[in-house]
Amino acid sequence: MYDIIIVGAGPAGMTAALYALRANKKVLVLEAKTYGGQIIKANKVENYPGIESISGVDFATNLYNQVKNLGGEVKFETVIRITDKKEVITSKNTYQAKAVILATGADNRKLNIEHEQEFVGKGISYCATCDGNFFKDKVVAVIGGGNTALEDAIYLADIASKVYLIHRRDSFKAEDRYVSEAREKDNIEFIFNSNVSKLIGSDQLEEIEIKSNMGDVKTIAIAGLFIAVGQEPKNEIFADIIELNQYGYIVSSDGVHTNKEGIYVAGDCRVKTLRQLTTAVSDGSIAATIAMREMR
Amino acid sequence: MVEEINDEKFIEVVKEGKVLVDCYATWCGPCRMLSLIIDELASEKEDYKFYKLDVDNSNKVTKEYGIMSIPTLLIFENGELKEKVVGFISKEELEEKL
Repeated sequence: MYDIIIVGAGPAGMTAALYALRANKKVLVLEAKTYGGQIIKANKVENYPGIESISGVDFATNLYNQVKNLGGEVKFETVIRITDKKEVITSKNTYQAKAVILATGADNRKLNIEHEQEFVGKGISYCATCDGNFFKDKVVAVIGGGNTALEDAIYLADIASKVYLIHRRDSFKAEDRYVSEAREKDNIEFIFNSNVSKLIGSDQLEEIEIKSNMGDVKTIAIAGLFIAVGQEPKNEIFADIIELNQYGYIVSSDGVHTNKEGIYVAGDCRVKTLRQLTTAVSDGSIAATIAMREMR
Repeated sequence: MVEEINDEKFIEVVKEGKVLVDCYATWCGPCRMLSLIIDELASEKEDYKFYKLDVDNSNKVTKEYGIMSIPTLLIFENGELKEKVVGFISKEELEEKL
């Protein structure tokens, strides 16, 4: 029997573990893939208060070591189901806890168009900092309008010969500083009010079809398409007992409690306005503290 | 530690037996995470040989195997490419493939 089981070893989950461990609780963190969550894709983290600059992997590794050194158990097992009796069932075992914190995070949202999966690693990428270098002096496109899309376009503009930035609206959601930096790059071409409607290629991606909101269609030749259209949660496995909103995020009236007693939520997987490293670790510390207070 | 190889060494090592080559780059976060798993597997699995290849220094392999996304794992059996795994993969999933 654990005091607290945390599902997900991203910044939210590991911070929850840290707070519970420091209160001498018996803690298990379950993670399907690897610790760190989405932050490991960040080349540099420069908006975390008190840390001027750190790589996402280093941040995650420091936090992981912090949890391990305090005696935290981290098991790499995929959670299949939880019950309202606070049992957590993985592909290998069943665990019991007094409280459960769901911190499953989010993953890259897909475009959900035909051939998208087939072209991953063959021209389609969700990580510009990972794959950008393979497109040296080639033509690429970025789709999206948020900070990530703009950052990707700016990053790629220094590597690729040309970058198309495709966005479904006529203005960006991204911060102004990213937008003006992108505008200064003369090899970024903006395509507004448009979507990618078709992926074309035999062995690898060769062309994309772009459809404007007015219905105009054009085809451009590109070597790479970087998809940065936001995140999506992965909470379907909890849907039988936990309330989710229409997009699959966990509903919580106060940002901590779910609709089930003793089951809490933290980080990107819940309904919230800002999904950042700072808000994830904030969620984790609050969820652990409240869970311990209400534990019996 | 998993041995680091380059374009030339690659041709030799994949010729025989079961071989896994972890294609990575120093600047790629998910690659560093996957490398930790490869290190663990290398000390646990004796039927496979494990190598790491820095794509920044290995243009030939990168081109020949059409690597456009990292991490990419190349899995060989007696010189024949059995599987190409693109992107991060959990230890559980990778163990199943091997």
